[in-house]
Formats: sequence, C-alpha cells, structure tokens
Amino acid sequence: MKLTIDQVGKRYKGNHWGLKDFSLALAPGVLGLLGPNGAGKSTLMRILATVTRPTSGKVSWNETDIVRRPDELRRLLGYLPQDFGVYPNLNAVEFLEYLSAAKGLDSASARRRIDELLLLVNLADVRKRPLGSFSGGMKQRLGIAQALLNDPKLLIVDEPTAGLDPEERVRFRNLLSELSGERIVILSTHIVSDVEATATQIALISHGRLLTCSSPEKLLQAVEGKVWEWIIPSENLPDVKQKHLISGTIRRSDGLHLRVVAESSPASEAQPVSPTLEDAYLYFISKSRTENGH
Amino acid sequence: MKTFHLLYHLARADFLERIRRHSFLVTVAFTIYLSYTFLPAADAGYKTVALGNYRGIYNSAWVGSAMAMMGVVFLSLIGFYLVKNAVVRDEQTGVGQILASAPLSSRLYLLGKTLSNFAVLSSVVLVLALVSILMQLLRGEDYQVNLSKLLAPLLLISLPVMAVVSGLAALFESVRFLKGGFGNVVYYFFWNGLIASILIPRAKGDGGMVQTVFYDLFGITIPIASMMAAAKTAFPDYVGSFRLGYSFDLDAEKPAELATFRWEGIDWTPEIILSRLAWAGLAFGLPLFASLFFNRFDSFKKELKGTLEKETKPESEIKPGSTIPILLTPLPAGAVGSNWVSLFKGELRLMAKGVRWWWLAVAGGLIAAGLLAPLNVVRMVLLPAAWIWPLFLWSPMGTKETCYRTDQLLFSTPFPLKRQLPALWAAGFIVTLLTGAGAGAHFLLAGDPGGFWAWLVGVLFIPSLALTLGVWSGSGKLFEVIYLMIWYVGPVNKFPFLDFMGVTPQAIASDMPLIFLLISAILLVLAVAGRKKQLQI
Repeated sequence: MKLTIDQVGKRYKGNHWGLKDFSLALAPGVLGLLGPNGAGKSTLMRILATVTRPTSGKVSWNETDIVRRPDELRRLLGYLPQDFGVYPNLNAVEFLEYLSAAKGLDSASARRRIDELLLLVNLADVRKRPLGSFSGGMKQRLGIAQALLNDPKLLIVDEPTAGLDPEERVRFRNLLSELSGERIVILSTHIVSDVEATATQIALISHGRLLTCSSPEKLLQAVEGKVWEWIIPSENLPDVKQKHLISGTIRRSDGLHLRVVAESSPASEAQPVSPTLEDAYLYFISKSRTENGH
Repeated sequence: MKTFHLLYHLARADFLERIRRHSFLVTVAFTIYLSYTFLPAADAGYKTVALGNYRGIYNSAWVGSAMAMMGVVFLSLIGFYLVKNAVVRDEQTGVGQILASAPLSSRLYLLGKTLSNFAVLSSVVLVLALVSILMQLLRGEDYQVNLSKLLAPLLLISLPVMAVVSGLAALFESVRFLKGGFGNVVYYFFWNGLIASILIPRAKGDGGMVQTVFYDLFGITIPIASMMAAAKTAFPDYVGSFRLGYSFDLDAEKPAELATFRWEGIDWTPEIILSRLAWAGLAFGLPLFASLFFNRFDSFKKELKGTLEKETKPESEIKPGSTIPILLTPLPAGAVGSNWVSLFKGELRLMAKGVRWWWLAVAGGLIAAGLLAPLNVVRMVLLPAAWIWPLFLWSPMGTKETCYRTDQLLFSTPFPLKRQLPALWAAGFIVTLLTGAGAGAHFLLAGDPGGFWAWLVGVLFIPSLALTLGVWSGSGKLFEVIYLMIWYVGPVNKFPFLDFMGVTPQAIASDMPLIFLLISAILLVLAVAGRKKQLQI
C-alpha cells in the first residue's frame, strides 16, 4: 500500500500557486500535515481525495495514476472535507445509507456498518433526528462516520477536530490511532496537539511547499538545544517579542516566564529546556518565513 | 451620515459580490442578445412593438421607448429572479449571522439589499441603453442620435420598475413562505396578471385612444398613448390596436413588413414624471414593510421545535471522552461494488423527503382523475396540472450537492458520473412517470398512440431539463422559472411549439414530441458535460 505524490502543483487564478513542487511518499500510518492557515493543506487534501485536479505533477496509489483514473482510489477512500454540509431533512441513518450507496456498499454491510459507526461517534441516540437540528460538533462526528463507511484504505481527514469539544477531540484522536494499522491516514490540522497524539510522521507545509517530513522524534531532535526558558520583567516583553520567536508565555510572581526558540541563548540568564512539537513547528515555520522574506 | 455610510457599504459589498460572479457576465451577454432582438429588422419575420400594421421609424424616440417597454416587460420578470437571492446568500454563507449580531436594524439591512438589487438591475438597464444607441445606428432608419429622447424612457420608465422589482425581491425574501420556490411561482403569476391587465385590453383596439394611467407600474401606457395618437394622425384607418412582445409570422411565406410613421417621442409632463418618481419612492418603502416579516436569520425557533418534537431520550449514554472499544466489523470481500439500485433509491428518497400527506393526496387525486376523466379533460387540464404539481421535487435536481455542500463527499465516491448522475435522473424520471401515470395509462387504454408518445417524451424531457439547468446554474430557480414559462405558454396556453407534453393536436401534428425528444437528448449531454466540469474530469 503506497501513496506517492510527485512534484504536485496547483495554480489558482492570478498565477497564485496554492501548492508547488510537492513530493512525498506515504506508507501505512498516520501522517500529520501541519501548517499555518493558507499553507496549502486543504488544496493537497482535495487533490489526494480526487476532488481537485492538480495543475502539474502526479499522484499514484499503488502505481495507479489517480489523476487519470480517480475511481481506482475512490473505492478505497474515506474523506472528511474541512467544509461540508448535510441534507437537513434526512436523519443520520438515512444520510449514511445514501452515502454508503454512493460509495457502492451492499445494503446488508451498510446497515451493520452504520449501526457500528453511529455508536462509535456517539450519535446512536440521535440517529432518527433530522440533521437540520444537529449542532456543529454533531455534524462533524457524522462527517467522521461517513468517512469510515467503506472501511477505507486511505483516510483523509481535513481539520477533523474543528467544532469538537475537548472530550470528543480525545475520543477522535484515540480512534485515529486505533484505525491506523493497515491503512494510510492523512490528518491535516493546525492544532499541534492533535498531531502530537496520533501521527507517526509529520509533514510541515508553508506557502504551498513541503518544509520537512519526518517522525515526531526527529522533528524534536532538530530543535534540541534551541528552546530556552527566560524570565523577564513584564515591561520588557515588547522588545523581546521583536527580537525573538516566543512559543509560550506564563506570568508568575517573579516576572514573565518566556519560552524562546532561538539558535543560541537569547540571554545569559536563559536556561535550555526540552523542546515540544509546538516549538519545532514554530521553528520551521519561522525559518521558512525568514528564508522567503515574509 | 453614519446611516448613509452603513447603507452604502451594505449595498456596495453585496453589489460587488454579485457582479464579480461569472453568472453576471452571462447576464450581461444575455441582455445584449435580448436587446438586439428587441428591435427587429424590417424583414426579420417577427415583431416586438407594433400598432396594428404600423410602427414608428427607428429614430431615437422610438428606439428608446421600444427598448424601455420591452426591457421592463422582460426585466421585471427575469430581473426579479436574478436578484432574489441577496438575503438567502447571506443565510447560506453565514454572513447573515454576523450582520444579525451587529448594531444594524432589519429595515436598514433590507434597504441595503434593495439598493444592491437596484444597482444590479440598473447595470443591466445601462447595458440596454448602450445597445439602444448601437441598434439605432445598426438599423439605420435614422442616423441622428438624440440622447435625451433615447435615454429618457429608459431612465423614467425602466428604472422605477427596476426599483419596484428590487424592493419586491427583498420583500419576498423576508416572508418565510415566499422565500423559496413557492414565492417564485407566486411572482410569476403576479407578473403575468400585471402584464395582462395592461396589455390585453389594448391588444385588439377599439378605435379609441389609450389614456396614460397612473397605476401602470410598468409605465408602458405613457409611450403607447403617444404612439397611438401619432399613428392615428399618420394613418386615419388605424383602429387603435397595439402589440408588445414577440409575435412571429409563422404562416406567412414572406414576412409582412409594417408601414412606418415618424413619432417624435413622449411629452414628459410633470404629472408623468411625478407618477414615475412615486413608483420609485414606493419601491424603497417595500423593504421597510418587508422588515415586519424578516426573521433576522433566527432559525433557532424552527430548530428548537424540531429538536423537542424528535428528541425524547438523552443524546447519548456513552460519556464523551470515555474509552470505548472500537467495534468496527471489517467489511466482507466484495462488499464495495456498484449497488446502483440502492443509490437510485437514495436519490428517490432524497427527492421525496419532506413531502407531506396532502401533497401526496393531491398527486394521487390527479393520477386517478387522469385515468377516469374524459380524455379531452385529461389532455387539456389534468396532465398539465399533474406536471406542475411536482415542480419543487424536480427543481433541486443537480443543485443539492452545491446548495448543501455535499459535493466533496459525493464527488469523491466511485464513478460519480456513471452512477450518481444517472441515479439522480432516474429518480426524476420516476417522479414524472408516477405523477403523470393516470394520463399516460389513459392514452394507452384509449388507443391514442400519438398522445402516449407525446406523454412519454414529456416524461423524458422534464427531468432532463431540471437536471441540466440545475447542474449548470447550481440553483433550482432557473428551472422553476424556465419550466414555468414553457408550461404556461405551451401546454396551458396551447402554444404548440412549446407544448412538450402533446396536449394540443397541432404539437403532435408538427412532430413536436420528436423535437422535444431530441432536445431531451441534448439536455442530457449538457448535464453530463456540466457534471464533468464540476468533477474536473
């Protein structure tokens, strides 16, 4: 099972490239796709979900070009878009039955699967309620259920935890980790903690380009010795902010405890600390912005 | 001052959003084409503005008034449907929620929307004005362009009508039951009644002159009265008839040309100008009235009602965040295949969802009556009735994926073009077949192969039209309007060339079923092409 993204680019109106020269090879596991808003994550997701055609490059699923033959992948695909709607007059069961028919599932398998999925996403008791009365979080959970209808080999979830409360978010993370065994899961988000909990590989993307892709451990190693805790008086904060990349601030009685990401110690009194994934993310994004002159 | 500033930005943002859409370019192109047809050449084979066998020379006065009259007749209908989406769009995009929470009164909001509607329709009138100048030169009967005579009718006749249409659109969008397709139908008949009340009494002529009437919203009695007086002077045998709208010389081998006379235009008296300004003033009073019905994007009550009715149990017994075993049974091999029948059933269910018992009772009654009533009644009354009843079941065809934003979910399923699109069409076909089943069976049992053949073509034509217009426009509105017009002019008013269900013997004799069969095939090809475009294949 292999998904290969080769030099993929997507050009929008006004010669703006949403994605450019993007290459990546994926094997079973959870890939966390991290990047700031507008980095090109959703464009990549849509291309991989066969909803958008790339302007250049090739995407292959087990050597099949899915740009030319998208239906080869669609049978095995589960996709939760960032922004999707539901039919307000249908209930959860009817909506999932409709989508399982669209995915080509036989009726008996679909019925059993829908029962299990509604239980899994905690919607079993509202299965007969019209979707028009669902809250944002409930719709999102229904979206997760529909993505799993056909037991997908490639699961693409774009900002899946948006609108979920903290407890539901934890449930979903657990679910993703459990599902990732024999399939490729691509999780796009800008919430670092979601990726931290589930991803086996992390790809950082900014301005439509891949910055790096490696395991969480390797990303952390890359910023080892570059994260510092520094206590400063509150009034110095504006100055420090201008000069350094700050990944955290805590106000204490002895002053502001800053978490600074820097190649070298920002001050003699600053102490090195263990980096987190959030520090690594900020380091790479900031570095890319500096290199691109943003 | 602050209010004007707010109003300006409300209208401006909405106006810019609309004119930057591709559909506005299509509207402009269509307006140019339509305007071109408003002023036919002498040997064109059709007429638009005629006083019996006479018309004015195409000078600035005549061109301006003819364009203004034809413009108001068409733009008052098409324009309404064009702009009746300003509030709905805010609802769909969620912008409405933001505006509702802002210190902005409903009156001001609706006035802003009316102004934006008016700005869009005025742009269309501007296009009409520019084409008018070109058309006068193109027809070349009088090369002297008098801008005041050419443009005054467009300013004083067309613009007040556009203002009223803008206000009516805001009103219809504010009243819950007029917001959707039902409102579109209501407006169509309202427009029809209004046009008929002005034009029909003047179509045949009684030898007398038409008086300018204050209550004439369209303002078309203003030029008509003046034109008639000039025609009577030029041609004493003129009996006072008047026609406005397309009339074709269908039977003539050589089109009959109209004799011409010189008309120097409207005498814009203060009374006439005042009447036009009064209509414009009334137009901007409509949003104030509409604000009485406007729910300010508050759908809470509706949702709450649904929730209370349906939910009797707590949401879930499983506590969020709890660790539960994942009990997903692996799918057996071969579980994912084609299963087209289930998809077809799903599309049919989606189409029929929300249908109430009384709707089914009427549909059932029409089927039974179609089977039992005399054949002539079935043909003339019951079949047209049976095939207008499901209008709102057909109109979402091809649009619901975009309207409800399920497109990404559906278009990433296997073979959406080969499976989902045919399933959708088939669901529409079945609805058409069932609702017309009484008449169809009656034709067959009565041994009327011509009637059955035309009926069958109708069954194919309606879902094809709905699907194609839905896929290409992304909204059910276009189908509702076009279908309603074809249905009203063709089967109801017995115009054989638009009679797609064969209720008139002339339609069957003229092989119209064959033509509509061909049109249905073309429509289906276009539907596939449109969906391919959506799928980016």
